Order: sequence, then C-alpha cells, then structure tokens
Amino acid sequence: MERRELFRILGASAALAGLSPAQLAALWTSERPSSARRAFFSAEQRAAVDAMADLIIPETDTPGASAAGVTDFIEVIVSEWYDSDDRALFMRGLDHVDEHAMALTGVRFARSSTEAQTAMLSGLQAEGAALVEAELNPDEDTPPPFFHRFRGLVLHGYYTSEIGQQELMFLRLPGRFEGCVDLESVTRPRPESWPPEGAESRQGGTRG
Amino acid sequence: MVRQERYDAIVVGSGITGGWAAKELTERGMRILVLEAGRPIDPELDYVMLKQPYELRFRGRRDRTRQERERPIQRTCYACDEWSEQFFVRDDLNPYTTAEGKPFSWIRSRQVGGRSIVWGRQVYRLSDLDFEANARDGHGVDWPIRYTDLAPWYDHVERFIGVSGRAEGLAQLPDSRFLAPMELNCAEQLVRERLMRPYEGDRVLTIGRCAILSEDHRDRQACHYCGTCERGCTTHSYFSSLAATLPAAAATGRMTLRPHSIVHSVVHDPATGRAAGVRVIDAETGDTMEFRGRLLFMCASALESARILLNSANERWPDGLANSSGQLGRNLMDHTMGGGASGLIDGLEDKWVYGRRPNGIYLPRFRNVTDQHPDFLRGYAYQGGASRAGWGRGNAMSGFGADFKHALREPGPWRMRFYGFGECLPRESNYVTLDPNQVDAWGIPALQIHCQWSENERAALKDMSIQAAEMLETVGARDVESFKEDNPPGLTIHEMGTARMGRDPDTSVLNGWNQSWDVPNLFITDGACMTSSGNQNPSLTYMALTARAVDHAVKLVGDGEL
Repeated sequence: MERRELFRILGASAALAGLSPAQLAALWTSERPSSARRAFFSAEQRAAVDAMADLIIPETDTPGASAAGVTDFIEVIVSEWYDSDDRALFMRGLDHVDEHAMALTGVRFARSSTEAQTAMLSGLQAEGAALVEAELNPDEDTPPPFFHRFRGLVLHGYYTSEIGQQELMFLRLPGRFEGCVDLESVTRPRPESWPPEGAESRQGGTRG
Repeated sequence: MVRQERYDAIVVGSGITGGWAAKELTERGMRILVLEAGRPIDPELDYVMLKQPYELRFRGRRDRTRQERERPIQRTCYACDEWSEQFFVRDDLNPYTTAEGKPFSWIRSRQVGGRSIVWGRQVYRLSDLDFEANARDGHGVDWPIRYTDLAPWYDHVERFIGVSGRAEGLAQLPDSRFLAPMELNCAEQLVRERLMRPYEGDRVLTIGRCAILSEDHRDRQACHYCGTCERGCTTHSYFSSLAATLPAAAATGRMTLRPHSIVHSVVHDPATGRAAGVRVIDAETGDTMEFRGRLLFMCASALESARILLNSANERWPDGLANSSGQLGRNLMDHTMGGGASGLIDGLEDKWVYGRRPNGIYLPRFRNVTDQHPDFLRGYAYQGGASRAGWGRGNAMSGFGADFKHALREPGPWRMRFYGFGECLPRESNYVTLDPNQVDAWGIPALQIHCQWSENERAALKDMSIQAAEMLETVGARDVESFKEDNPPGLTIHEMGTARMGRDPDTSVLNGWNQSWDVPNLFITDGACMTSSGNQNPSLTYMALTARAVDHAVKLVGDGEL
C-alpha cells in the first residue's frame, strides 16, 4: 500500500479505530535497509554469530534471533558503526569463541553440539560477569566483556526487528491511551511452563 | 537587489512564534512576508512517524560517524536521533563558539515550522509569582506586565492550539483552557494519592499539560498514541506552526512564505529612525537581496534574533541595532534540568497501560511559593512519570535462552521518576557577542556565547534531587536512587532573555508590548523578550506574547503611529 493511501486512511479516525492490529500491520509496505554494504563476516564467523544468537534468543513458540536477521544487524554495527577499537575487540572475541570450541570439541562453535555450545556460552557469561564484578570502579571507557557486548547486540537486533516487534505485541498505532489495564489483556498468553522454575532470569527481571 | 514590493509586515522565522505572528497579522488584514532560513517541509515526505526501527540502517542507534562529523552538538539532544536528525541543523555549517570553560549547547532547527516540529509540547502558564519575581528579589529588571495582561492571550492561544491537561486550581500554576486530560497510569495515580496527605496538598502530581490533542480539535485529529511525536505527526495531533498557525495564515491569502531565506541583518533607515526591512541571503544560491516592510517581527529564536540585531550595527547603533540600553545579547537564560530521583513501585505487577502516551507527569513548583528557602531563590518543577521496564533490562539480567526470552515478553517492574527543571536568574554576565573570527557557511558572523550557571541554580538543582528522593521514600518506593546531572546551559532548549522587556529604556531592549524602545516598528516576540525565566516550559508564554504584540502593533498602525 502506498503511503499516500495510508494517510487517507489515517485521516479518518473512525476507520482507524475500527481496524484490528493485523489489518493495521498490513497497511505498511516496509522498506528494508540492505544488510552490510559488503560482506564483512566470513562464512565461519557468520555461522558462529548465528549459533550464539540463537542460543540467546532461540526459536520457541515464536521465531528466534537468526530468523529475525540479527546477524545482518550485528554485521552492520560491527563493520560500520563501531570504531576501530571496538571492532577489533569484537572480532577478537568472536575468533576466540571458535578457537575455544576447536580446543574443547575439535570442531568450530557452530558445529559443536547444543550441549557443548550452551556450556561454552555459560562459561563466557560467567567469565564476563566476573570481570564486571571486579570492576568496582566502573570506568565508562572500559569495554564490556564479549558476552555482554554480544548479547546486547542480539537483544537490540531482535527486538527492533519486525519479528521482535511482533514478539512484544507492539502496536504501531494504538489509537487510544488507557493508563491502567490488566496485564493479561495486552500481553500474549503465557506458555504452560510459566513461571519457569527457579529461573535465574526471573530474579534478574525484578532488577529492571 | 532591493525588492520593490513593500509588505505590511515582515516576520523573521516560521517556528512557534513566527507562525503566531503570521496568523495574527494576516487575520488582521496585513499582507506579510515570512522569511525562513531552512527548507520547506512536506509532512507526507519528511515526517517519519510510521518508519519502524527495522527500516533504519542502525535500528535507532544513529549513524554515529556521520553525526559526529555533521551534528556533534545537535546529537546531544534526545530528539536528534536516526529518525529525526533531519530536523536539526548541521553544526559544521552553523558554527558558534563558547568561552573557555563555559560550554553551551545550542540546539537549533532551520526549516519551515522551525523547532515546533520537534519541540517537547509541554505548555504551562506563568503566574504573578513569576512576573513579580525580579521586582521581589532584585535580580534582573521588573517585568513591564503582570498575569492579568497576558491571561486573555493565554486563553486565545490555548483555544487555538489545543491543550490537554487537568485543572488543579493552583495559584503558582494557573490552569489553562483544557481539553480532556490524558490519564495518569496506575503507578502515577498511586503516587499522586500517597503524596497528598504527608505534604498537606503542597505536592500536587498532575498529568502533564501538553499541546497534544486528547480529542479532535478544530480541523485536527486526536492523538493516536504512537508515542514518538518528534518524528513528525502526519495527523497534526500535536501543535506545530506547520500544522496549524501557518495554514491559518496561508488561508487568508495574505502570506508569502519564503524558505531558504537567511536573514543577514536589519536595514535601518536613519531618516525615519525605523527598520526599513531586512537583508537576506538565499541559502541555495548565495544571492543577497533586501525586502521592505512597515513592521518587522523578529521570531527567529532568542539567540538567532540577537545575532541578527548584533549584526545590524551601524554608525547610529555601533553595538547592535536597537541596543541603546546595552542589554541586547545579555541576560541569557536557560532552565537547569536533571536533579531528580527514581524508585520502584510495588503492588501493580498485574497492571499495564494501553498505548504510548506522549506526555508525562508534572509536579508544580512548591519551593519559595509562600515561604523562602534558605539556600536559593525562585523554584523548580518536576516532569517524569512511571513506566515498566522493557526488553532493555535484559542487558542487566543474567542468562540466555528460552526462559530469558519469555521473561522479556513481559514488562519489568514499575519505576517512578521525578526529573526537575529549575529557574535561572537573569544575569548580565551571561551574554552573546559576534565572534570576530568565525563565520557560518554563508559568511555571517557566528555567535560567541558566554553562559554559565550560578550558585543559585546549582543549589536548586541539589534540592530537586533531595526532594525527589524524599517524596519517593514517602510514597513507599523501593530502591530509590537520586541523581544530579551536570547539563550545560542550552541543552534544556529554553534559551531566552537576550532582548528583555522592561519598564525603562535605559535597562531594557523592549517595552511592555515587545516593541523596541529605539526602533518603534521593530518587535521581538521570541524567547529573547523574556525578563525572567520562571521554571515553566516557556513556549506557551512566547506564543501569548506574540499574539498580544501583534494586536498592539496593528492598533498602532491603525492609529497612524506606525
């Protein structure tokens, strides 16, 4: 649908109020930015990013990180947005992941078993958390540990993607504001396993 | 080249005050020329309200390297992001300088509509607590007007622009003509109620008063709550000159609007003692030209209007046109911001909001209203609000995987935040001059800005932080954290005071009608005219003063005085 047509529709508030979220979503023809101007990651590096991103945000009842194009986003940030120091740090961290996997499992990270991948990523997280913990005098210039930097990019790439916006049930044009509604009425039904037993993430969630 | 046609009035600037000058002048029968330094804006092409983050190359993280090159100052403004940077000037083309150790952030727009396209939309009336402030404590000079002079013009402006808000009947913050208020959310409502008794009604948390339509108003449509006004609103639900006043002026058939027209200086006619017109550089071609008008309204922003008049010095006015008082460019003020606190509100975990309200809370001034604080003069007010954390909190969480993903589907805890905005005293030592060694991309001398906060502003900022934390503790918030930011002047984008109104030509640039004491057909109605700053967001007052000044100027023309 052309933008002009959309404005015509927006011009009639009654029409807007009557549209379902799905109908509203269908009104857009989104322009997608291209992926990185030239391939920056090697095939091996891309495979490692895909695998790690999907461990962080896996496919469940909704698509996961790689399906949402997170790897393309990370490639744009690393190759065009980062300065040379950050780029070098990121690439060193990424290469280290494969080296570590080779040493541990004999194959690259992407080819390792899911169990081995999960264990390695947990190890990276613990390593990073210890570094953060040790940084008692946080200096803004101290670069974040690789795990935290990487997960931050995955979160940003995922939740700003079209799939991520659907995950959050993001409405482009809510059409009205209500200051106090039942949470259940505006979030998706919870999975049956909710709340996850003793999930670490749940505790963290209350830290905001 | 001098254009032959002589307009009834020339308006310099098409932003929030230029639009009002245009509307009021043309509706009184005047044929006018509006000069805008920037490009025309076509909402259908230029507004990016509907653009989603996945349509942007950097997903909202901004084009870092280009911004550092082209907009190193503008990028410090929250609204100058990957969507909206097009609505801010390029710093490399529009330089200014500051004195050593005195940083100042000059956030600017050049386009038809000016900064009214990206403004914060908060609108609050001043009261006599503000209009009498200078006379009471001796800082600056006395305002030549009082609340009763401006009240009918506040009414006039509010009826046109549409202001949503809730009447609270507070003497220090007069109610506006309100459309329906937007709702407080659950946590804000709770905080409002819990503040009432402990503070005996002295700390009133109310919904922000904003120029955003909560209901259809005139020919503009109610807000659809997409939540990101600064990207431009295709339904014109928030007020901008582009959405409302300029179309009203155009509808009279008496407005000529010329974009890409950078006003270089005012042409003074020594024979009549009046402004003959303005000298303009075409931003696209570099051609210079002159336009003639009977009245001249400066609506270019406090700093830009001062710059133009300083650049209009001549033999009669060696220190800048209309500057016999020596006050032109002086008494620069901005509001302080960033003393405050936040804390978690428990007990509402099963509640959320529907829609994205482009408005927060307001907690009006309570300091120095009836008593006197030992550490500082004047006052401050809080904005802010309550919200539940989003996916970004994942960065501070431990974990990854399915549970992590599903936890982030739900909103995090409610956090209530008070963020203070404080009054700035007028001081001659905060001033601007033309920098003899710096010109902009069109060869016009750049401003040199000398501005810094005083102990009074710093003491109030400190108190904002303490009081915000105390209120949050009082209402039972958890994990209360106070903060005190160190923001440079300018960044609040409420710069004002560089051509103040007053009662005495020896100490002020403008009389009580925004009219130059020295050059009677010259009116300055943007933020330059402000005699004191109050702590309220000032645009509403600028608009009301503009409408009032036009009414007076046209009467003077009718009486044969101008």
